[in-house]
Amino acid sequence: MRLLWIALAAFACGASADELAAARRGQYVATAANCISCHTREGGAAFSGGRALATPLGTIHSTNITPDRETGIGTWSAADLKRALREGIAADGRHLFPAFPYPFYTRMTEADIADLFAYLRTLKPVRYLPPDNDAAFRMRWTMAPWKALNLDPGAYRADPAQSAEWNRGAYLVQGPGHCGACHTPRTWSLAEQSAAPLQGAVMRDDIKGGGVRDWFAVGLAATKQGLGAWTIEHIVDYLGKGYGARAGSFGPMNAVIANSTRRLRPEDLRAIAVYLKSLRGTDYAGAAVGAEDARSGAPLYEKHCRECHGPSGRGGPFDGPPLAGSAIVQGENASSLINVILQGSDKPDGIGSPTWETMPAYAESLDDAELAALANFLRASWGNRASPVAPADVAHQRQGAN
Amino acid sequence: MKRIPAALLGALSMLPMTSTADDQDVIDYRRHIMETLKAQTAALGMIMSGAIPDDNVVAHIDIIAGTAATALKSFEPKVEGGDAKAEVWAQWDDFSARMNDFAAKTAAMSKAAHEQGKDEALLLAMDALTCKQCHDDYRVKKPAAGN
Repeated sequence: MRLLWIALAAFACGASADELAAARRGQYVATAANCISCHTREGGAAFSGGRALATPLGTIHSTNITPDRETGIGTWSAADLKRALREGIAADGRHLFPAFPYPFYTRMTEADIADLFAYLRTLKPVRYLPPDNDAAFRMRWTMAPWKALNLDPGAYRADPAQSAEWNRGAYLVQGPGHCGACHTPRTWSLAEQSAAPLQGAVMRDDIKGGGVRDWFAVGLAATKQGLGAWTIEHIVDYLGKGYGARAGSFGPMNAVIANSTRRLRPEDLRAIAVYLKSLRGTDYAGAAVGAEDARSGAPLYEKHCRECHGPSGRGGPFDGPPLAGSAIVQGENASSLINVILQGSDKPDGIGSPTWETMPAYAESLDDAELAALANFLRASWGNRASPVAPADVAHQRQGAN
Repeated sequence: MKRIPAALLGALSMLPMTSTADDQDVIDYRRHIMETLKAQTAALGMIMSGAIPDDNVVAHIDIIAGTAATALKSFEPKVEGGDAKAEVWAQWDDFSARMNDFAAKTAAMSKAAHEQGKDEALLLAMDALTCKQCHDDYRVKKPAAGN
């Protein structure tokens, strides 16, 4: 449908075949960069902005990137878009906040940026001005020293020691895919920790009706608590279909898969997987759940979880995802595990297993102590190893869940 | 054909010809059928995952198909309870159509297993064993049932 619109828009503007081809390639770039997820508010026109994004500094709203001349980016040139992506500076010279992930987009190639511009020009202009941001985001001057410290501008440089496939994957992950925006821990100044790329990090989303909720974006390195047990096929399945033999999607990854990764070419998903499988990390060696704490959660597992996740947490193609070896279950921070138990695992249509049942919400049937006991059982069983969960951790997540 | 002993015939004739199932019997009966389907698909899934050798594939598929053919009958008495939502009977046309579809697809899988082989049959499994689709609509979500 959108391709048809591009063709019609291009035709109406008297666009050449070259411009049409560039716009088509640019649509793929926009998909890989998942522009639509952040630049679309619920119920709003695609790319017209206004989505509230929770950050540690407060709420910031995404901008309108349709070509409307007054409220969007209709007056921007190709050079303006390039400067925004590479340096985080808007056409009017204002510094942009890195909620717009230009520390990643700066790695995009010249060609991809030019194609993306061609595509954005073909969007239907939408007149819509997003709401004002919280106070912290009026101090744009703070971004100049932040960038001086933290922004390393410039396109991705291929590693000649690696294969073309690995480099393509590294480009997609580090550049347009901006996986590290959620999966890489941040420093005190909220910059990504370059020493710990994709090792897993806490992120937040907004809750309908107010408040924010923590999630743990799992470590993607080949550790026992990360993707160590995943094969390339498992990663390709997960990103392409929203589920694979190792996990099913829920929470913030739903939008990433629905709007971006499932629309990528199979060879690009494979390249991403090849790159991710090359990431090294360290298995968790800190304090783990004790045997006593683990045991008290076992009856709850039998009662609530066993039917779908199996007698020994291994799941199955007609049962549910495995919990043994799961990155979510063993997260350095248990917030995503707690969230999925509290809220269940709703997914948009078209992604997720056709045979796994939708995980129900347990917010009302398990209290904080029970849910912590269950989480501790999961985190200490079947070879899993992770830090203990306290009832207070569950209470913290529950404030957002209800 | 061997002659059936008269004493056995006499005993059989004393069995009631009409069901006296009470409500709990109805619920328990359909639960046994559903649990059989659950256990057999889980076992088949282990084989499909490569965890277990595939020697028993045809047997599992036959049990699933045979049990699927009994499933709709077990819901015909309108007895709410267990894990069944009231929608089963409120939307009986849809529910029964989907159950019949399930029986037909698993029967086709069984036929393929015998006529074409295991691999051909397993290709049909992901489409035939979509228990989730009906369970999402017609089965009570576990925590809400309070069990």
